Amino acid sequence: MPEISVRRLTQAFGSARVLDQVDFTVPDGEFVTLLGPSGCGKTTTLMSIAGFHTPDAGTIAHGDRVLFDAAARRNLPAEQRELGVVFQSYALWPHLTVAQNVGFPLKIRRVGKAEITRRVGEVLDLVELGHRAAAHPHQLSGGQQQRVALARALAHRPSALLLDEPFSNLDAKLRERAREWLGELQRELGISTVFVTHDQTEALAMSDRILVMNGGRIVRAGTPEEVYHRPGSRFVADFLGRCNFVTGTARRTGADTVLLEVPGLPGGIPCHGEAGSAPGIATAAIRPEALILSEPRTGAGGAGWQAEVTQLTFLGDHYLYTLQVGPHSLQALSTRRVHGVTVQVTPAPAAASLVTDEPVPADREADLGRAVAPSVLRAV
Amino acid sequence: MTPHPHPHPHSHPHSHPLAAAPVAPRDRRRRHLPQGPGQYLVWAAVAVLTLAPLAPLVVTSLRSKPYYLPGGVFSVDAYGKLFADPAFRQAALNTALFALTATALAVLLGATFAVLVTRTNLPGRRWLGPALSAPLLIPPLGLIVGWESLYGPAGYLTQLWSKTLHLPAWNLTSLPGMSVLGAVVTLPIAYLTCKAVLEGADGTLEDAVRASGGGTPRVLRTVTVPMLRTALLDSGMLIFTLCLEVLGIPLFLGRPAHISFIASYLYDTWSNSAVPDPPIVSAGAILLLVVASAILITRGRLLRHAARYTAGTRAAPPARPLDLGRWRLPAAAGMAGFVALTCVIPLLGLALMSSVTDLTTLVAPWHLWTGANWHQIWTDPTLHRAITDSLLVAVVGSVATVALVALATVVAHRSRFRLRRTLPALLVYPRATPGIVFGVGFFWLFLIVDWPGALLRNSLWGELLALCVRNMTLAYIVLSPALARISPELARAAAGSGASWWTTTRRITLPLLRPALLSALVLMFVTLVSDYDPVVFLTKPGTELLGTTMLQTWSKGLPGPVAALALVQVLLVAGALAIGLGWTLRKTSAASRARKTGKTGKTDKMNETSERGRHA
Repeated sequence: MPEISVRRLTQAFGSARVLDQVDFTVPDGEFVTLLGPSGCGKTTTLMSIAGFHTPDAGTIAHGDRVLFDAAARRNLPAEQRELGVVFQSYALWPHLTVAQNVGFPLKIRRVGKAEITRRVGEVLDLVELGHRAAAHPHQLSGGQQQRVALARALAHRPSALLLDEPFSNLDAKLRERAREWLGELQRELGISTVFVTHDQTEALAMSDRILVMNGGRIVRAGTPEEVYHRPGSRFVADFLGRCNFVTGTARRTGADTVLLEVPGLPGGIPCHGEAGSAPGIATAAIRPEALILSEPRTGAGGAGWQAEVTQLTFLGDHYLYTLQVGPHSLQALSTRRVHGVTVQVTPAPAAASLVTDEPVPADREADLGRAVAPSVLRAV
Repeated sequence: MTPHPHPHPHSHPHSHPLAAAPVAPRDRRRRHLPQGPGQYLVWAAVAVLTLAPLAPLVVTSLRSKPYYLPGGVFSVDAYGKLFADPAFRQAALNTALFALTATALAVLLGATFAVLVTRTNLPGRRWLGPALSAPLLIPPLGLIVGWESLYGPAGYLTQLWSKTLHLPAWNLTSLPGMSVLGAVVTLPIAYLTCKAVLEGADGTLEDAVRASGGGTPRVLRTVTVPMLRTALLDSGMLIFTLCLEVLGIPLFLGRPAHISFIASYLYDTWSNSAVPDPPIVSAGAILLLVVASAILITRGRLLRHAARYTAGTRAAPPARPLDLGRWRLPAAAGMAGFVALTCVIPLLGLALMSSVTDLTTLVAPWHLWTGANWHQIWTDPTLHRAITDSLLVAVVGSVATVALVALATVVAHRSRFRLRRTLPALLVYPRATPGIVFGVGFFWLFLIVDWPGALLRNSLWGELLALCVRNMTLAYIVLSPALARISPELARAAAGSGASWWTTTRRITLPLLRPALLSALVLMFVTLVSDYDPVVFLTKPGTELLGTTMLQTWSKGLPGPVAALALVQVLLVAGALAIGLGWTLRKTSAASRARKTGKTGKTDKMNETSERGRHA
């Protein structure tokens, strides 16, 4: 299965840029997620690949087939793109049965009746819905509808799968199961997949690669670990979960390490920072779970800071602490309940990373995303 | 379609056995037919049909003599003559007075009824509500004849009232009298518009007034009535425009009192003119068209920002309906009385009149019982043909119109066709144009364009075309909201599966529209049976339709057969509605049965659509 390459997609409505030089590649068989808040351009990008949206500029190719090329005025109609699309609403045709829904792409391709029956059965078994072939969509639960939509998208063996927030209509528990199930299926089929979501947990759990979008641009690209631990910008760090931001003076200590000296936090914070970043005033992002809490030690010495617990929230599987360290208010997550008003806080080594305030478009950054091969990651 | 080189993902280490199975045979795939030509065809059909009758109208109004006579030159004489004619000025004044009075009455009553039905604890509101919109479906000529036979100067009830009870009687054949009938016929428009607004409004706004300590009058004054302002303006302008073109009321009721409206002035000038086909009629039609268009364009402008004035967040009725208190029963009785007096009793009067030799208070009706009128419409070839021809026109016309409009609606709202944005305007304007304008326009079109004009001019098909084009709008206003309710993702999913635009339309979009298509079909049938004003200039001996035959028979002074024909119209309409309703109910019960096993009922929603469409 060939890779999908999206090059410099741009679209503007007046001065508002819906898509701004969106540029990425979906390597063969990979699961790539477009993640971002609503209105960031992620669905527009997906629909451009599917052929339901026409950008002003850029190209989209699938292997050696050019699907869209604004300069050459080439725009292959959606029905000729040979992709599988799962819509947010599932878009199951209410007047057709499950089997007819799934068989539709095959019927369009003039596949023989027996072959359609066989293939529909096969795909429905794949999504574990073989027994509901005769049902109408409205007789199915949300999760089942979602699987029928997926079966329909896979029926004609598309060379890539496009998913537009397919889990957003499911409840939390079901969503988690559907996520695992889809991830497994995608790996089994080895089909290149583009997935759109605004849910960072979903993106982190499922993707080989995450493209974080904001304001029509890809602001960060990389494996889930990279994007989570080295967000690069305040926006990405914030979007991917709870985060503490501390501003201080950066001093380079190694090839890609920096020590952020912050008044009120003795010893500073050792940070990850790219070679390029200039020393001076900088902001570091530290995830709450990277702050290790312990009983206060008496006497000086040892790393860490004395902190006062100002608020303690029980979140089920862990506790969320709000701490006051000198002038700074920090959040920390811990599975442990630490008693007492004063605690010792230690940042985990290499847990913090420098972030910029303005998100920098990923495609204009040094090639961050390619640093770790996705296949390696899958093995991890 | 380029088959891509490696359809089988053998290369992938985790490749699933299923993925390696043979791919759907690509060589057998159908070629992608270009969608453009077909879409152009649909667009061209709509554009030609709707615009063609207007051009000859403009041309003929600017000629000094009828188009086909030699020696005619271009001039604005016709317009000059029109304005100089005192009869026309009187007719214009009458029309304006009639339209103003009828509009005021219709809007006032319509809004009151809408509030009573949607917002109060009026007993029987579930029955009274639908009954109020009945005049939309009752054939207008039938209603007029029924009114005339009961409430006219020599009408049965008028006689009963004045001669027997010696009370001062009313005069139906006067401007106020005709205005009342005009209001009754157009009231459903105001009622349905206001009802839609009230039903779509957030009832908690009214609950909030109550929570703040306001009573029923305050709720009405501060929230309910102000909420209706846009609806009143909207429906008022629409009703006013419709009143400008009214033809049946002045022809049936105005003639004895010599009260003429613009439409009847044009009709009389046409039929009685010394010179056949005078340009002055074209000029008058153009004038009517300009005025009606101006009002409707103003309406569009005024309502452009209407969305700003609606909450639109959630549509829920107030927690508790307004309590009418001791006015409950009187209000219900008043409303039921209104429905009975304006619709039910006139239809009964129609039935009575069709079965007696003479409807008079001097002799009891059962002494005058006769089957002569029915016998006459069965044996008289002209009257008999009127029925069969109307039936043929209604059946063929409704199917053809709905087919074309359905395609046009899908092209307009579910395609990337270049000219799609022009289609809604093209589809809406015919109904906004006075019917008589269309009639004159088609007359000249068939005369000027020799082929296929000559063919159409002398046959039923010309009349069918005029009626269908004029009423295309009705099919569109049923189909377009229904289509809007179908998620565009359903069509996209088909395209994503590889279906071309035409396949998607045929296999997905139109089947999903089925309930709305049925509603449109019923509405078109009902309208084609009842409508007459676009064909009054086209009808010829041998091509009579119900409406035109009734006009002619009435002018010969034969009310009995007219009543019988009107009743036939009513029965045809009732039959069509019963079939449509039966089908909808059957589907609804099937859907509710299905819902017991399933979770959501999409079919149910579609049936709702069709129901709503019927009342549109």
